[in-house]
Amino acid sequence: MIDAIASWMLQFGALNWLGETGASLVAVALVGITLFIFVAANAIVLVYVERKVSAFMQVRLGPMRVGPMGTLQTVADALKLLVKEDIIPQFADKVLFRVGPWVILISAFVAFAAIPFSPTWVPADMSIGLFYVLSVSSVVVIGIVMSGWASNNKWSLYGAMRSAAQIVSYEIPVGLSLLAAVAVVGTLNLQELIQAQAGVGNLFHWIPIPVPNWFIFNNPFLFIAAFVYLIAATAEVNRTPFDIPEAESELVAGFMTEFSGIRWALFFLSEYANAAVVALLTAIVFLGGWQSPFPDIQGARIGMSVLAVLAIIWTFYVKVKANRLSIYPLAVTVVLAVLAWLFPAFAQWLANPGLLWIAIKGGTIIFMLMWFRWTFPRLRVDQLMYVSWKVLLPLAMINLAGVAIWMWLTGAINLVG
Amino acid sequence: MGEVIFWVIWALVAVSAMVVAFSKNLVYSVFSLLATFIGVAGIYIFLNADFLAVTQIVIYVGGILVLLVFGIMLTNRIVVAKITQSSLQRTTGLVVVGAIFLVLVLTLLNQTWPLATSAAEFDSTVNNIGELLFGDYLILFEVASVLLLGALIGAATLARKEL
Repeated sequence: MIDAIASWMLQFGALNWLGETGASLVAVALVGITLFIFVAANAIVLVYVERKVSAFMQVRLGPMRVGPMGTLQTVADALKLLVKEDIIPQFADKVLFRVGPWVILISAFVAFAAIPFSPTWVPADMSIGLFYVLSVSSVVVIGIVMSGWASNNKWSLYGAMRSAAQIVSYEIPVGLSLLAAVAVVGTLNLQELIQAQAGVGNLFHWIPIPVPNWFIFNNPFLFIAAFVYLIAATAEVNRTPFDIPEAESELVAGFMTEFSGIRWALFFLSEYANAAVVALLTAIVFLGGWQSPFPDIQGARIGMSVLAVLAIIWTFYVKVKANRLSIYPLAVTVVLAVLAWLFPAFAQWLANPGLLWIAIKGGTIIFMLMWFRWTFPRLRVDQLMYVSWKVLLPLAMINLAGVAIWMWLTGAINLVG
Repeated sequence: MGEVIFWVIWALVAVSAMVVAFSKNLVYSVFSLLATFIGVAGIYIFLNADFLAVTQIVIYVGGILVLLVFGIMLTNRIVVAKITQSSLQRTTGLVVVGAIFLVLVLTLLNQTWPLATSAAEFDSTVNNIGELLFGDYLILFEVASVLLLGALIGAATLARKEL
């Protein structure tokens, strides 16, 4: 994508003085700034969504005062954090205290360099994209330990050590469950991974239910691997129920305890950037990335109609079970289905691959992460290690072997060749 | 542009490696190693070894460096004691370091190092590495994995409370 932008810029006479080198430097800067704006906006929106989702799950209203429905609350919070006094504890290690938050943010941020947002829109189309994303997310732990140690506070250090142990443990099930998907296609390139998930086929190739050819539906082992990945990745980005590094009931705020103002904002920026990376990676590897779930116009029409029927059934179920009439899902899906049948162009648009679908899939996963957070209680330290080493790791191992055996039995790979 | 970035990375590696070697504060040395490892990964990319570069970050930053940090923070009573490093056994050290330096310089001079300074010259190595590891060198790969498994089981056994 960098090359495309650079050559596009050189087509204008006014920019010719840049030369090829200058043009590619400017292109790199442009892409970087765009991604940074995305990361910042992502954090501001997700903090608001998180507060609203948690409020609705606890039958509260959440932020309501600033802006309509409280939508400007996090913008105001961000401004407040920017102008807050910059406090560094007297006995903290001044250098590492300043550097730590940036190490965390940068390692969360550079992961976006390999994420494909649409068939053409990927900052760097790497042949080792998946491996690259995993590797840079493992640098986060150094930043956390750095911040925790530099704070010179026992709660911070406990939080940092817990975090290091946790991230190192959960990296293994994360890697193994992603490897199961990689084994199916034999590429680490994220674009090629997505391209391999085009079209519609039978569930697990033999149950006659038409589903998109996403890897989660490719075979039963990958179906399990998707959930193993989601659980392990939730732990890797330190979100509840795996947030013992910042467990406020035990450790004040863990490694973040001594941080305030802009540095604390950096932690939040990286936390939500990490959540976005996890959600996008789940969408890319298991849910077909930017691929549309519908193969063509007819598929989009039928698919939307099925969704509308499901929404009607769900509405009746809620009405009978809970005596509540929730009309929005019904209205939205019925309107979309009718539009798809009336206008072929709209149906075609739904069937096209693109940013829309990866945004919907990523958004759904992020909502699930928030759902986890406000549903499950926090794990204890020993339970956390138990889940990683005795549950997720064997499961991921069996999955990997299962995928290989499944592919051998179905003739997808040939061991002799 | 490629060459400028190469020299920037080279400077990063050199400066951070010097901090690792000469800093009196052991914690600074360890964290400076982060910059060294990432810089070396950058140099690997210039040498067309993309898989090696990413592996370098996963293993050295995600594994070795975390291990070092753990070691320093758990063995020293950091709240009370000052963590410093000092140079002992200078003669022995000089001989060993000199020998390694000689070997490295000889290797450097006897090899050609093709630099990829633009994306167009870049050719990924991951497919070749995969085919070689699971083809020609499969036995060696399996032997290495059994060795690592043995080390893992040994560490788990030693760490158990009831020996």
